[in-house]
Amino acid sequence: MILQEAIKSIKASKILTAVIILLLIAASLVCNLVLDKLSSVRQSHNKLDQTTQKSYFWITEDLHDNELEHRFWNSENSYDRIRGYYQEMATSNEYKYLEFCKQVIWIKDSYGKFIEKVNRSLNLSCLNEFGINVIEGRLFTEEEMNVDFSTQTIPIILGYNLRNRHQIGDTFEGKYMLRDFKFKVIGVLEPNSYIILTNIGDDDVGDFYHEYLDNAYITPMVNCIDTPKSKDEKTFIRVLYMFKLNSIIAAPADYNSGEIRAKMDDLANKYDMYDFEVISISKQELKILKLVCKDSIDIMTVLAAILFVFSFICLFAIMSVKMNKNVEYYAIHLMVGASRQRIILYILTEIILVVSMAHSLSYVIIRKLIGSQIRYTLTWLIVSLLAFMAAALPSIYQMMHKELDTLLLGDAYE
Amino acid sequence: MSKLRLENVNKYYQSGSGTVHALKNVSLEIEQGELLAVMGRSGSGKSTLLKVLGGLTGIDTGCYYYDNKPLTNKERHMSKFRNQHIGFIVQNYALLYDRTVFENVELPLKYAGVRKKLRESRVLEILEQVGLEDYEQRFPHELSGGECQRVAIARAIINNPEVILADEPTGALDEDTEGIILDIFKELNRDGKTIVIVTHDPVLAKKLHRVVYLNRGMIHE
Ligand SMILES: Nc1ncnc2c1ncn2[C@@H]1O[C@H](COP(=O)(O)OP(=O)(O)OP(=O)(O)O)[C@@H](O)[C@H]1O
Ligand SMILES: [Mg+2]
Repeated sequence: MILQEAIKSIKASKILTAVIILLLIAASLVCNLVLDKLSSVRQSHNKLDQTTQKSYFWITEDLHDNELEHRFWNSENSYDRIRGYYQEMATSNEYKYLEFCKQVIWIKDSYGKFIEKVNRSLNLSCLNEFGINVIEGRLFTEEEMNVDFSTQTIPIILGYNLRNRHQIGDTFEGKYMLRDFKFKVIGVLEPNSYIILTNIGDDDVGDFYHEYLDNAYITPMVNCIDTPKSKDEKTFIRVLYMFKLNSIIAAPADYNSGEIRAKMDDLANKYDMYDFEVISISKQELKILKLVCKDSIDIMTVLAAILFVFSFICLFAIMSVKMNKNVEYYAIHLMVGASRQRIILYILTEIILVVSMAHSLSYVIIRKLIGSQIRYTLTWLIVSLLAFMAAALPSIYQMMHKELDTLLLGDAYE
Repeated sequence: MSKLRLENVNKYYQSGSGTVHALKNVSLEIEQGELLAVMGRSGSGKSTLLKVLGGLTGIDTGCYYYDNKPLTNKERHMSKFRNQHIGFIVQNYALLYDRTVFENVELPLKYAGVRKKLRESRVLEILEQVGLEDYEQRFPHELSGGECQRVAIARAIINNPEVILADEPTGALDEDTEGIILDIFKELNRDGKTIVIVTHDPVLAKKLHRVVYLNRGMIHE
């Protein structure tokens, strides 16, 4: 009977209830948008904060001397040597070795034609360093980072904007590092995922820039332990390790390029490798970016606070109107024999009904309208509930303490 | 033996413009089975008196006895008293406008915990008694003033109270309708109910057993 009465009371003021629900939906939409943006800017800020506390070095092959490289590949055991060199460069207790490759992959469409797509290959350290995560599915596993020449399938993760192109579990054919593979979709990245890469600046000092992954197919930057025999296999290894050796090293702030240079020279001797350069990356730009981020966080926090207060007041005001109408309505119930506790239960049930109705509706609408990018925040849920409760308090108080004849008058004597 | 008895009752209202002394030293005895009219100018305290008698509001000083037992101002006491003994008809009907005649009249039975089957037959019986058979599925806004008044009466008497208090039940009605309503009260009175009716109409008042007058909160017989 309590639920029935609450529903009847809602029905008794349909338009008002509809307005309340619409208002809550609109407020939910706006508040969630702002909160969501705020949290993504905050994330950027944290990422930048971490990045500025480290030293970054860009390892790149010496472009002035192709001859050496050519000679290297023609020498004996070059494939084993380059892998040995790579292995030792990549393993360190002191720094993280970030591998990435900006390239295209070819994906076979339904007519059997290869179509070029944006591809970013990353190793696990790189995913980890930049806090890359999936919203659906999973990231690459340790095992998936190793391939041999019998491997046919490579896992692929979709950038957020590609999430509707394929389903998790889909496979399709394509080319990766010029070699034929099948790709199997295993996950979808979070929106606005990015890594920070470097450009060579004017003065041989590297600069940072954001490389967003939303429109890219993400593949693992694999290792290949087999010794190549055919020409195809050789090409694959060459291309692969060329990319793997052009990397970024993320080290603690006090680490300097001299230490890396020394290690590389040692290894170059040991494996008789061609030359690489070490370029220190300036953090100046990152620091500026961080400041800008901080500013937006401050502005958006204020904005969010204002929005919340505003929504709170709106919801409070309109719910108060509804509750005031209720006083008269429920006074009649009191007159014909309902207990006061019962009336209060009606009021609470009614609020819970309206709130859950409005929130489920706005949840659905927000999902439909904006997709899963919007997180339906707990903060907002609590704020709206508080607004409703605050609006209900005066009527609950009246129901508990006022005499019946006053209640029957509604708020005429307030 | 008196059914209702007020002794030196004073009632004050706090309002924006100060304190209103709505009932001044009112003493009144109403016998079991009496059919009483209360008259007086607008603002003289008639509704207030009726609300005090019905336990809708407490009193500030003095005593109120029901069947010679004192009634305290405690809300819990008053609501129990209301639900057990009083059928109250307020000046503006106080019907729930989103419910049918049937549901309006049924509500007191629901709160009294009466089972559905019993409720149904009882409501139909009462509606017939006030001449509203076939109206049970109508909504209050589809009724005339007199019909609304009869719904309010039906709701007030459905729990079979000993005392019926009606605030200007014929105020807005024509003579014929007034006659119908009066007949209902007279019949209830014949069944042994004690009835107090507030009215502006001296003709109607004369048809009742006794008339008391209120003037600025003071009572004259
Ligand atoms: N809840 C209230 N708060 C403050 N003052 C009130 C309240 N109810 C009534 N009064 C005042 O008490 C006095 C008596 O009011 P009451 O309603 O009893 O008059 P009445 O005789 O029923 O008048 P009417 O014939 O117009 O219905 C009036 O002066 C009125 O203004
Ligand atoms: Mg009155």
